[in-house]
Amino acid sequence: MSKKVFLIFLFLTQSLVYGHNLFMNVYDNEDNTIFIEGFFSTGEAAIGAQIRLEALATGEVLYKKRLPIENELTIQIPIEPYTIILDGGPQHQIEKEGIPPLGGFLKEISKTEKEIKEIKIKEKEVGIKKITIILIGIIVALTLLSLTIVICAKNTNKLISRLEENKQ
Amino acid sequence: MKELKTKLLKQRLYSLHSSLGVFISLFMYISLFFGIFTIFKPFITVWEKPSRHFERIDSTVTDYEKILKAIISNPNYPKNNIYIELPGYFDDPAIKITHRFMPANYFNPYTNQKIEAKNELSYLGGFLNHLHYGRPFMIIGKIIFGLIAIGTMVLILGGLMLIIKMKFNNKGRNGQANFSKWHRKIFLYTSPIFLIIVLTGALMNIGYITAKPLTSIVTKGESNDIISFTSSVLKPAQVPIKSLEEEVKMLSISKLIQKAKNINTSVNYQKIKLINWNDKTARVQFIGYNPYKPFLNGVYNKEKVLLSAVDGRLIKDIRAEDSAWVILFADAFYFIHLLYDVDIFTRIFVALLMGLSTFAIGFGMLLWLERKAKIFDGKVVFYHWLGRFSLAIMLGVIPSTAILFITQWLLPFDLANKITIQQIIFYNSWLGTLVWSLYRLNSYKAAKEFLFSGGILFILASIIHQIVSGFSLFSLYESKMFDILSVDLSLIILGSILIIISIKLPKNRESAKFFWNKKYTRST
Repeated sequence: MSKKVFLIFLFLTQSLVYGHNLFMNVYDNEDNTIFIEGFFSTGEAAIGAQIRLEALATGEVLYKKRLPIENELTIQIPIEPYTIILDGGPQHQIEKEGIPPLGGFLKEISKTEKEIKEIKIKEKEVGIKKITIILIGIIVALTLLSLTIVICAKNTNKLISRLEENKQ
Repeated sequence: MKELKTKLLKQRLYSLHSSLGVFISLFMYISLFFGIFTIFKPFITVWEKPSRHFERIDSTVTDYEKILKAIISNPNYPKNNIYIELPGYFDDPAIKITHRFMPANYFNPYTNQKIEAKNELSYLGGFLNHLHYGRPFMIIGKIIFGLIAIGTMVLILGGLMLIIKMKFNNKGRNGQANFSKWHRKIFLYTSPIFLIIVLTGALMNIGYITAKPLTSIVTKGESNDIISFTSSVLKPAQVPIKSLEEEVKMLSISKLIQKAKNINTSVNYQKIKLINWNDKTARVQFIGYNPYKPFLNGVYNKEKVLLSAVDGRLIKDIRAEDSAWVILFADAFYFIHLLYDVDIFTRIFVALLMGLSTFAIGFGMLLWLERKAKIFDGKVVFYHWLGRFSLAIMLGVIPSTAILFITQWLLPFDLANKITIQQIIFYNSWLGTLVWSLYRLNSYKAAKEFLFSGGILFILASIIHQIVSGFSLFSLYESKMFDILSVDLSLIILGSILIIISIKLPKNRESAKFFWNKKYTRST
């Protein structure tokens, strides 16, 4: 029964989680080009959103263009590993791994892995600071909650003894 | 037999109303309490930001071309569908330039300079709004508040049935009778608007989630997202106009605003949409709210004037009544809840009604507690967990909210994680009021302390704002920053009222009996 309730809940809440998102379709034309189109979850075309191809190794922008009125772009596949980004503004970016050209990429990811790791560590540090603050907040909240139980018990005992005194 | 059935129905209705009411009223009180702040959110969001401390000016005197040049000179910025939010939109004195796919840029209309507010961490108004509908607890909070709204509708309708079916005595001579009378009388007058607000609230919080299966059936399995499905009808996408890639000189935006104002004289223009800017096909759409057609526009529906940006020729003049009936219905339905574009008087009116409703909820709670307290009358202090809990929820929230306003200006704006720290202080101070209400055996004293401290803290919030921002009440008045001044004055007035109430309220149960029944006691 509880499983059913959980499934219904999951079914009902799914739309909120995925509401108003951007979607990107990427197709391999099999002639060293890719075909890209962008949509919102409403079905509306993402005309004007920027399509960017970024090199995986360096983060260098290899290609960028806004989706035209036709809402589609055909792009030459880069020779090195890359990511395809559909940039719909702040907090509305989606990424997809770049499709390799026929015969594979000519360049490979090499030395910048260390740099990528450093960036990730920095991002983590910022996250940790926030977590520390939240943890302190939770500890204070738990202390206050325990205090409510202690005070409540103390006052209840006091009142019970008063009540008993009154009876006598 | 019929009499027995009616009696049984009344009894069941009454016990359902009181047992459901006790549980729901606490949540509904929170929603209403923060809802009142949300009504004034446009003013609070201006008050909370140092970067918005300048006078609001007339939209036609700004040099929009200079501002636009600063934006469009970036080759990466799209030239189509740029939105300019005019000064005064949602009471923000700044000009906001937005594009769907670009971060928003804010400009000071006096200096035409970009407002750099990257380090201005501020989310007071937004947080108060989130607390209004359970958003801090994400989807679970939204569902709980949605269910509470549904429960409130049951309570309102059940309450109205009770008033019709039962004969209540309005000449009660004790606190309990008075609480019952005020609970009924206030809700009787506020219920028509309150019911609409609660209904729309329930729809927004829970209706969209539960409409998933129905959406799937209606769209024959194509979509199950109601928001996506309805937005294509409520906010129909405009057909894109293909750019001719021929650069031509545009007319001045201030001139175009004047033209639009001459075409539709009753509308308050809020936004300008620039289509294919600098191209031969360029158009300007002026979007606004017509205050003479409340309930017909202001939410989804807006009055629009579409002009050619090349020669100022009128292309389309769209009035509120031109929209499909579905859009008009949606606007009428949501208008009183969302209050997007309405004037300050409508806001105050709705806020007063909701304020009265919070009192009615409070009296309902007092009625229930008074009935329980009577059992222990004269024997021992009434120390019920629900009484203490509701004391912390209903009155403890006042000093905690005041602390939220204080920390807004006391904590540095560039402090890392300022918003998180501010919210944690708020939650813990609220929890602290629960500790205090359990600690004090005399709940009357605790109530007085919450109100008094809340009053002092609200006044202090205004003083701290004046010191830190460098704008005293007088200088705010002199600089014509009336929106900010009104928030400061409201905080001082609210604080003073709370202090007066705390002084006037009874100190203990004995004096409370006299206090709640002054009229009768005086006459005898």
